[in-house]
Amino acid sequence: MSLPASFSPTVLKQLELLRISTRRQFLGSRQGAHMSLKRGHGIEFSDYRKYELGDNPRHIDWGVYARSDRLYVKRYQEEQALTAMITLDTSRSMFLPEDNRKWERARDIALALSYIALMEQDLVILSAPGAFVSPALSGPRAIHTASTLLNGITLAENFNFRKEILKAIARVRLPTVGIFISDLLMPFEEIEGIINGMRAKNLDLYVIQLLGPDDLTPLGGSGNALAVDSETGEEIAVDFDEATLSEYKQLLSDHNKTIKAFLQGARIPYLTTASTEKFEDFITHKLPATGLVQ
Amino acid sequence: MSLFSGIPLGVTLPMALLLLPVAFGFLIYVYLRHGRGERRVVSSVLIMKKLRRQSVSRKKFFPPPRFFIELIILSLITLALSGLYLQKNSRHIAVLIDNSFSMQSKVTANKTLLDRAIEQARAMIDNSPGSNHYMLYVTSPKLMALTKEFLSGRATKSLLGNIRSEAAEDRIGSAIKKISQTGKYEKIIVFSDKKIEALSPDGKLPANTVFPRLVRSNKHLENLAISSLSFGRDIRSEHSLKIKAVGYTSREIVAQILLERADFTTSGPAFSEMLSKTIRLNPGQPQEVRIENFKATADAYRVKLAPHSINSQYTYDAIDSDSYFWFVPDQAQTTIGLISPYTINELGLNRINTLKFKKLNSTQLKTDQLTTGAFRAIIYHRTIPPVLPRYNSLIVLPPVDSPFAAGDPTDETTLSHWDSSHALLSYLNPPALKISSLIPLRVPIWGNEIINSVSGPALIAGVSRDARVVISGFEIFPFQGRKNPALSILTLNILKWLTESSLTGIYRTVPYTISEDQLSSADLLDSIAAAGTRVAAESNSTVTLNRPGLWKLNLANNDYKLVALNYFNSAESDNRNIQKVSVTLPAVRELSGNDKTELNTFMIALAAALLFIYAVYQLMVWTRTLPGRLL
Repeated sequence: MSLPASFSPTVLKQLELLRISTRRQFLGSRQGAHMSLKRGHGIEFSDYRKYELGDNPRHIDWGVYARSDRLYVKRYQEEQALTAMITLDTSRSMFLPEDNRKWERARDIALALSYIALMEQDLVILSAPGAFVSPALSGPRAIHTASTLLNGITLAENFNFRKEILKAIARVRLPTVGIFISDLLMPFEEIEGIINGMRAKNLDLYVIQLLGPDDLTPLGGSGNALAVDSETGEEIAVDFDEATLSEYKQLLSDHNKTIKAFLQGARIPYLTTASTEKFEDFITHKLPATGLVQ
Repeated sequence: MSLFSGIPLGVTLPMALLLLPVAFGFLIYVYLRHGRGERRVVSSVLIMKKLRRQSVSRKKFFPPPRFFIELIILSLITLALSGLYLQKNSRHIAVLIDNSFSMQSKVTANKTLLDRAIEQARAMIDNSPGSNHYMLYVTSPKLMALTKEFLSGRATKSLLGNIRSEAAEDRIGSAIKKISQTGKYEKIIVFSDKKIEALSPDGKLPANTVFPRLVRSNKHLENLAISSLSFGRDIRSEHSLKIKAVGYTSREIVAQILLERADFTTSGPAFSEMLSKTIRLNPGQPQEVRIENFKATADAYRVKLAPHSINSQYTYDAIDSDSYFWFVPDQAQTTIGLISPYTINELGLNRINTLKFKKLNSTQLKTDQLTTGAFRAIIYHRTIPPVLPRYNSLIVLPPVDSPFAAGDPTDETTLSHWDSSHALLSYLNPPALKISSLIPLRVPIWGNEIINSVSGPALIAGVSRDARVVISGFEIFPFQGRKNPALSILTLNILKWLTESSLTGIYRTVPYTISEDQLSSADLLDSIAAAGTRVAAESNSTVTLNRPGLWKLNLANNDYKLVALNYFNSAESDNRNIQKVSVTLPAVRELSGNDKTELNTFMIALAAALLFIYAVYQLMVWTRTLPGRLL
């Protein structure tokens, strides 16, 4: 399946200039472009180790041997491929209301990050709680697999999002980069539980909050309606005027501030975006500012 | 019942329409209480739940589109329940307005029964399907259709405004029958004050007749009227004026009669009071007021009857027109016309010195001259007038084939009984009459049998259309004076009776057609209404006057002649037995299935279709929120 229309050749070229960066070094499973914790072959010198039987004699530092008459072998920091685990919020709030196009934007962000990673020979694991957890995808062509997977996601029944996300994380064997894309419109306790679950896996975590226009300005800011929660079905009569909207925005801001304070305490970069924001600007300007891509 | 004027839509159960506001109210309540707006799926109500101001401006009602769809569906269902139908065929309806004299009765200070009838007729048209067509009839002065062809409701309504009350009776029973006999109408709607029982004692009114009620009570319709007035000589009194007044009231009341004289000035008649009399009127009983030694010196006179101020405030006089009476001094000729195969001398009439006779021929008999009051009376000897005359007449020996004769002549008959109290038999001993040949008479409805024989009525007298008429079945001529005392006395009595009360001289009854040479027009000088009206003469000789009042006939050379016109008819002035309930005769034809298209099914189908479309739309919206939906 081809990439969504938002991935124009211009956008793809700009994405190819970017790479996933991490604040920590991880062990990788294959050679790549990121400094790894693994010592071995590489360019970057790491330290010396006494020669042991079986070591390749080509790694013996003959200068040290001449000075100390002891055999030492040089060790290098290996460059390995990074594994990025991209977790998408697949709860109903991301799909509804449909005209908010939050899911489409989340999908595009995930595909963009996957494209950046795959082009750098990194591995990508796509996690859609309640739907699937993909195997590690690698190679540029795998972007089409990623696209197929993400486009195949349907509006799901309500499920225990926290449980499902923790189940997906459990399949991660090595610490890696974790990217969580969600609207975070859930009770703070639930957010806290999810984030802590990810932290427990020692992920280098990034959180992207994606809000729709209706989340920012319900009912266009005025009028009344019977608001129905997309997940719980809870109904509430609302009547928006200027004052009510102002209060709503304040409450939303408070909610986000609470999340931000918690994430900052956990040293987790946090980024908020709206589905109406220009995709190209978000990828090329806003996302690099978090340090997730360079 | 029609829904809107001009639109052929109606409902079978109008009361069901009351459900409409109830349903609307309920729907609005539901929206205000629960829905209040469109159902909108949002990502989360997490933040909204915390709003403190979420119930602000709760009383505002901004209905969503869904509300209007539901409103339309509700309306359609309600209309279906009320039995909405579309009239296919227009109905032809006759509207008969009684514009007789009695319809002048005031039901309020400035509204008459006729006004109310017109109002009701308009309302009836408004409430009827617009496809109906109407033919408008009035009863007076005679039954006539105001248009030649059927009119729409709107045109009929505008035509109703032209109807005026006439000084005439209605004959509404026969009017209804005549209209019904045309067979053109599905319904005859009669706006009249006449009681149905009085219209058709035999109960043979057409079945498709409707009588809407004009008034609920006759409390305000009590009426005083002057029934007649005579002026002249009679046996006991010379120059007396006799006024007969009657009160159509529920109790005895005190009334006042005011006599005014009219003297002519350049600006018209000036009325001045001559005398007034207080009388006590018993309900429905005529009371005669006699004014002795009355000398007619004025140009004209007016008599006015009104409730006395000592009565309680609840005394009314519903009709003004019959409370006034105009008369002019006797202008009648003293000449008596004679139409006979014999001459005046042959009949011995030349021997009567106090009267003048003029022989007329049959050509003159047919002319309008006889209606002009040129003669004090006419004698039809061995002949009859083509129609019953409106002036005093004596018919002697009507032809056997005439409507006055009941059979072949008989020889010598014996008188059986007679009315000795009648003026015709004054100073007469009827058994002294020797009748050698008698044509038995047929008694007309207005006639009284004065002398009766074993062969049949011999002498009839009565008042027909304000004219005194005597019919004799035996020869009363030649007048032989003392040579034949009995017959001479009878002849003199008859001539005296015919000429003593010159009713036709001092006033006339409307409508009145008069022919005069060089008559250009007639002006209504004094009347209850429409004074100042001018009627132009036809062919410079004839006018027809149809309003009571004092008229001036304009003749050549600035000459003029006064005519007093009055109208009285006890059936029209007596409001005590008025129709007070609406009556729809039982066999009124209702709309049949052929006349209307039931719209119930269509309405239900339309509502169902709308509901279906709405449900499909809702289903589409709902399925978008279903699990598994590929986005």
